[in-house]
Amino acid sequence: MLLRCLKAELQKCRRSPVWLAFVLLPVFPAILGTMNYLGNIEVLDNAWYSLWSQHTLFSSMFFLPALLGVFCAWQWRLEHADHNWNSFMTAPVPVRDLCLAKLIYAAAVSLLSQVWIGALFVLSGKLAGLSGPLPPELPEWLLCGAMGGAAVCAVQLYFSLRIRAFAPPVAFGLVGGIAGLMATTQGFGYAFPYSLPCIGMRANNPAMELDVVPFLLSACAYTAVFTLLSIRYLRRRDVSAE
Amino acid sequence: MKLLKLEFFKCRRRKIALVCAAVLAAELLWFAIDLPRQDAEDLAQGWMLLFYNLALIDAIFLPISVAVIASRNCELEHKGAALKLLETMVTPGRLYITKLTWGALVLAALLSVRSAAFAAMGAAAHFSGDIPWGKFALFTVISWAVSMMVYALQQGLSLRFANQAVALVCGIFGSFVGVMSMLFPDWLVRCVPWGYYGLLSLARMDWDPDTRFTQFFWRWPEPLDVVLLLLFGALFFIVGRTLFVRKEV
Repeated sequence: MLLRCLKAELQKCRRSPVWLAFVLLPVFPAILGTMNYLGNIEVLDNAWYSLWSQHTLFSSMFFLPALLGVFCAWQWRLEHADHNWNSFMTAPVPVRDLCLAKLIYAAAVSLLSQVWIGALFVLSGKLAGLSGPLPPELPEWLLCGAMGGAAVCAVQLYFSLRIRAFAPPVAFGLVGGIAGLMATTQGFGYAFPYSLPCIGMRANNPAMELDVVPFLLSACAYTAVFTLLSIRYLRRRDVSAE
Repeated sequence: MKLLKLEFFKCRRRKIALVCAAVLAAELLWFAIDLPRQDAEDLAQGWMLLFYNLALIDAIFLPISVAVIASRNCELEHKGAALKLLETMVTPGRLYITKLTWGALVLAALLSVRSAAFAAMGAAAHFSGDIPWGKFALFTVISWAVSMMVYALQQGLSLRFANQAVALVCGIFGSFVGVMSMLFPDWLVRCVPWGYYGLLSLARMDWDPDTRFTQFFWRWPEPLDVVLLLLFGALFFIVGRTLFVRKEV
């Protein structure tokens, strides 16, 4: 059943220009981060690690939550539009699978955007003339970032399901990202979903360390709780198609 | 006038006030967290610091907030055959101007409340000297003018594309550029519409790389920036209006 839902969701995503945002927007922090790195090269003497700190400085807190918010809002927007709720809810599959399919794609997009961010990082490092070997932890940073992103997706999917409009959940994502930064600086970042991509990618974290257990626990807990909330909402509430 | 009243009617249950309240709350929260970090020396130049921070906060929050407000007001026209019906009664050009006026009023209300709240906060934090009302008034007008320019852009996008993702992504991009604009040279910032929050700010920071000492100082916005702002606004308005008027409904 889940497989069929995934296929259906994939068809809904076909030919949508939403991926364009994910390709284009991360390019700017990469360019600006590299410029910033080259401008302050005498202070930033840790080659690849310094470059990473400049790249993630802004991208992880602003861009990622808001961008993932756009994708999640877009996914539910399809159902909010026209009379799609009726056909969505009468599809002969469990509601659980419908929700999970959306979450899986959102998580996949989160992972893909991390891969793209990583590719841009390597590319700009080479262009900036960094000679040393690539940091071996890079895949781990990206993977942790993607896991944090999946937690953000679960939260955003729930809000986009509840709020029948496109703009507010996205703005919510941006504000959440900024609040996440504050939560991280105040020291309780692990408890706040929007801080998780930031922490996972080790942004603003010169020591590059991560408490794996609380991080994984928090990411999994938020993903599970908000997905369950979405499923519960869909089960309990009557849909009203417009 | 009647059209304008209708705009307010259309947005009656659309929780615009809630969106505005959220923006205010986010801005105040940011500032409230920033405030305890300041030492006595900072507090002595508190008002200047406040204006500098306000410009930064504006640059972060306002682009996306303006995008949301514009999108809330415009997306309802894409549903059903709203535009088809509407344009049998008014010309699209007039409708466009009415929507812009609606945005101007909402933003003016939001920014006035914002300035009052921050003046009260400054007074409560015991910044030295009286509340600089004149500067607050001027700052409100400047923020409003920049926001209106951004609003013209966002309204154009929101009305042109039924899919609000386009307008929202533009807003997110604007917020991002807004933050970065505080770090880049002026000539580069002049090229992007969202940079004007920082460019026209009344207080600026001067960081001396040798002594590592930051100095804040008052300044007047440069006439060139004001002219460029107006040009940007006019450009967005004309392009957005033309696209809307020519659109088949």
